[in-house]
Amino acid sequence: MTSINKTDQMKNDLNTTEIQNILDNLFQELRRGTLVLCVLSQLKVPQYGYSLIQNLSEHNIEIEQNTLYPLLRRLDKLGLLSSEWIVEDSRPRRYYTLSETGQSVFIALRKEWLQMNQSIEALIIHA
Amino acid sequence: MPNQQDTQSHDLSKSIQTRIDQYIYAVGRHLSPKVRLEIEADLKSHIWDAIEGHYESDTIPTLEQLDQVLIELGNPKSMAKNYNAEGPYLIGPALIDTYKLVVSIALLVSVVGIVIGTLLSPDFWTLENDFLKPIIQLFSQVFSTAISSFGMVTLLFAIVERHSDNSGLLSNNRRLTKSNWDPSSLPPLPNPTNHIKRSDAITDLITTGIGILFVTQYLPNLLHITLRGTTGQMITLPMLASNNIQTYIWMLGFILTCQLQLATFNLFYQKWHVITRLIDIALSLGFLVVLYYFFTDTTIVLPNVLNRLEFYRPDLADLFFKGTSTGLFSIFVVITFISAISIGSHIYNGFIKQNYKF
Repeated sequence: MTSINKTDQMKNDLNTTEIQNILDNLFQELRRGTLVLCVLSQLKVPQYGYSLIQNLSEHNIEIEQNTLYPLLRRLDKLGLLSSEWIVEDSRPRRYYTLSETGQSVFIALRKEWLQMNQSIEALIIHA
Repeated sequence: MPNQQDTQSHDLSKSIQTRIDQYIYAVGRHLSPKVRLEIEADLKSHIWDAIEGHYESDTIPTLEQLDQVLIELGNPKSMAKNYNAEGPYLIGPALIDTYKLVVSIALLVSVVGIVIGTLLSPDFWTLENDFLKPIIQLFSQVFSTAISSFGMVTLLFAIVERHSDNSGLLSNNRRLTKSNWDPSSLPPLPNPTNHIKRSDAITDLITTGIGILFVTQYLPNLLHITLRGTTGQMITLPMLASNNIQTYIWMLGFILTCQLQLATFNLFYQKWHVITRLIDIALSLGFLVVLYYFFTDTTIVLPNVLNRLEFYRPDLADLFFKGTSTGLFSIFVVITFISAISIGSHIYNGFIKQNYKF
């Protein structure tokens, strides 16, 4: 009986770990879908990469540096951001800000997000 | 006069810079040369921003402190992967598994085929005093055939990837939206008659690969036979006219290469289309025609080859002639039979059964 209980216990431990792994992946996917919106929302004023990370972190949006920096580059290449090098304390630093296109895209994304948020809240609140 | 503190500070500064350069190099070497310089400049700026964010800006961090910053920045490979995430791919995620399978088959067939063909060739065993030469020749043949197979398969898949619709996150490709497609243009459901089993496609690949090897590697060896004469000496008899046979080798090799491409295409899509059926029929017929002319073309045999064989080995001449004729005839009959079944199956399943109207 003891050995059977131990086996059940081991199975439960494995399941908990597996569940945690699944949750971690799903949380990541959930966050990934909102990254662009979060980033665009903070770029009405020019910011550089690290300052943006700190800014988002203050709003409890944690984003890894190796995710944000490539994302900024892609948004820049798409024309949603404009960037320029500014020399401060004899060191160049690239500042990003929303372009006109980026501003329109952000407004549209925000609207979409708010609508989605309402719908999802209504869905899950009674689940 | 620089004091010890200044020197230490200079050394630390140099170590810090080296470490930063190492990190940037570790990322940059995985990036395309087109974008490398720009991204490396960005990264340098980000790293110094992170250092200033963690520590006071007017002090030089220690190596340990820098390492902490770099660890937070992330594994260089992961950073490079994220910069590369949008592609373009030489061979993208949709094709990569099929590509790996086809490359494995191509390499296996070519290597095994070459080794077996060479070991079965009498020439390999007749150079008694020089055993290294055939072995070196074998290795170089295996190597060059493997490289050719790998290159051909990679080129084929790169072409397919180039023409496929790969759209990733924030890609510049036109996104498929609600408004730009018409439900009435949806393709019809696939007919089970047109389905190609994966195992059949793989078998096709293997047999065609073997065929290519036979034609390109073994057939040229028929250019001569080596035998022991009646007095015990080794004699090499040229059999076939090398100029005339090359044309057939080229044509057969070309047809089989086309069949190999078709087999790869079938492995990926796993269904017959009208066009691919017609191509397969054309290739089968073409192969039969070339083979027929090859077997019946007397100009490919050097004149008096039978006389010379009778001179050196009278006991073998008649046997050789009858054996060769019978062998070639049998091969042709078998290939014709197999081709007839294949063509008949295409005509029935592809056209008659589906009431296809031209």
